[in-house]
Amino acid sequence: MANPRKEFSKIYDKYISKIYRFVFLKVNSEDVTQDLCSETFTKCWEIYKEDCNKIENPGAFLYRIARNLVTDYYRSRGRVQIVSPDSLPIADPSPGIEQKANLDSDIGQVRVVLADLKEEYQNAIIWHYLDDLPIQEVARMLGKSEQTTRVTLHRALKALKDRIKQA
Amino acid sequence: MTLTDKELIGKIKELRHIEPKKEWVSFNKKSLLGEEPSIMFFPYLKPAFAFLAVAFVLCGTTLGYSFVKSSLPGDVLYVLRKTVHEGQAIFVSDDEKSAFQLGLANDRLQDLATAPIKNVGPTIDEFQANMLEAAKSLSKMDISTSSVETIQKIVEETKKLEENKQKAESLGVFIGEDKTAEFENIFKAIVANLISDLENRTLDEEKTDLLVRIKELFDQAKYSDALELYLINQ
Repeated sequence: MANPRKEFSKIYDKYISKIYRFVFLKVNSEDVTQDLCSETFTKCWEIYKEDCNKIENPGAFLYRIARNLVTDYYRSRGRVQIVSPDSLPIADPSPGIEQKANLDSDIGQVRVVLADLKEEYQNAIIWHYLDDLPIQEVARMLGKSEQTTRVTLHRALKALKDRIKQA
Repeated sequence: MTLTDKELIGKIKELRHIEPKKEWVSFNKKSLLGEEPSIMFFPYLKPAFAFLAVAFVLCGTTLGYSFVKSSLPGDVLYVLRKTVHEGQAIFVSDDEKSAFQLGLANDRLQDLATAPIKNVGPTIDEFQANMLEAAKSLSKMDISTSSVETIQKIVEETKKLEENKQKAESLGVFIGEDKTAEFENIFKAIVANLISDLENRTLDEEKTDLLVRIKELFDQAKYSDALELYLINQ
């Protein structure tokens, strides 16, 4: 087997930006993102160095750890971020100063609104449109069929568009 | 703001500009995996380069040794060659020193065949020095107590010396006679002593015949042949 440290170094280089962006779009804070990213890779490395064969798809594994850590982060803050797929997310009716400033630019607006979408929609949009993962891979990570994933993506885009229109 | 799907996807893709700070990425990686040697000042320390490093050292040593070995008196590298010879001479016993020096003298004669003009003088000087040392060692030897192998070696080197000398002279290189003559004189004295010793002994018919043949060779100035004949019949 090749040097696990060297192999994991390659995994780190490949995914660090993606995981960082994935987390940042959910927590909207550089400090928190850095902490959660560090923890994500640390957890992955702990398992990888024991037996690298345990991790079949390092990218999917890292996203899963990151998702769980974000959930834990919101839980620890007493805020429920994860909602059931059937329920609508609770939108903050009065955006803060930072959000208002972000809303001044289109990109900032997309970012803020994306963070308010329910988790499944966020993940589908980030993985498919930002990280360029194919539908098949997104479906696997969402635990859905490809057909359902296409529908989810369509709904996610529509939800995003509606929110932007309302803003 | 009303966006088409295409425009919206374009805006989403622009979020790719969200990037972690490079310093943090690097720092975090170091914290996680430890220091990664980015610059190899000694790449040959890597196992992958070990073979190359060993090969390089071996080639260098072999090449260097071949240069030293092929150096001639008058060359800079000959100092090393001579040092090696002097080192070897330390480990040679007194009885074997004469043969050893004769061997070196033979090497010098062989060098003369390939030596460029500038090296001929120093090579002859070196040959003469070896002959002087050989003569000195030979004069100290007691032929009656020396081993047959030692004397045999001296005889062989002496014969080879004559051949090499003739070869060098055929190439137009005149070696000079002083030190060679000195050696021959000592050789002559040894054989003369041997004959005298045999004459003082009571010999059977076979040994008497041997003494006659040795004397004949002595008279023909074939001292090494005379000595060889004696050795063969011991």
